[in-house]
Amino acid sequence: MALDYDELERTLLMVYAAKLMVDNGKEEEFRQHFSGWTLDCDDTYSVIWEALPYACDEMFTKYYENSEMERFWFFDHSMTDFYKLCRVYNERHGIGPDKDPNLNPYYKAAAAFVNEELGFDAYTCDYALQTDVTRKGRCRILFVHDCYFDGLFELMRAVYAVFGYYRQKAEELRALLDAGENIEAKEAA
Amino acid sequence: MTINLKQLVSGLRNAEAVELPAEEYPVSPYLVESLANPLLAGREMKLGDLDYSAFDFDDLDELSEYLNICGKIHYRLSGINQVFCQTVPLAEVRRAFC
Repeated sequence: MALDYDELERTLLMVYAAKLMVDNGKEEEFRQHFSGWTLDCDDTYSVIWEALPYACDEMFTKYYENSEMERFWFFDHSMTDFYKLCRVYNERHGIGPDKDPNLNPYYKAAAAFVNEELGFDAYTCDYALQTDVTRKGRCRILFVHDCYFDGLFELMRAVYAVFGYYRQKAEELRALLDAGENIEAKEAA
Repeated sequence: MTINLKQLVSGLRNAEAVELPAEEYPVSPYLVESLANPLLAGREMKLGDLDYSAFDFDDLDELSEYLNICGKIHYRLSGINQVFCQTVPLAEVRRAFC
């Protein structure tokens, strides 16, 4: 059946989701699980829902019937790597656990970036950034939304952006710390 | 509603042609030919039919905006069409002398 302009515009979200996967190195997963989906505006939500877990290493969800709220927990090694490196940076720069973690510029910039990406709708959803790498499963992003939430694609885009950011910044921070180690080693020698 | 055909014809003759300014909406030809046109024509397409290296996110944004504008124009034209379809034709009353 022919789609009208409005239906076609809604169907585009499926293509956006597919493009996000392909551009973020998930082409194989896309070909395996999504290439056979028919382009249809009625399946847009389903495709995004199915594609969302591929944006990170692990994702869990829980729906609370009484409050009609849904929670998502996103985990990715890039985030854990980044905050582990932040701890090393803190140790080297005398930023103890009792001090404000925002004294670490990498930590502060990451929090601002996550807020920019995940704070897209203050009315129907919220998030919490949990950065404790000393406890298992406590370095994660918790996202919660109510029954009026209509931004599943925005969430998917934001999750890709956030973990992409952590991946890139972890590399930068590792290079910086390695360079510092080399300087310290030279000075000691 | 009464439509005066003479007035309508003269109004249409005097009206300026409205065209979508192509420069203002630079839509990706690939997306139009391989995605929008087939779907508007009712052809079934799979997500895997597209070449994802042939376009970027900006192209999708532009196509979305373009479709939105086309949708508005289509809605207005449908409204006019509906008015014409619902109008009962009446024969012009003329005095006849035998």
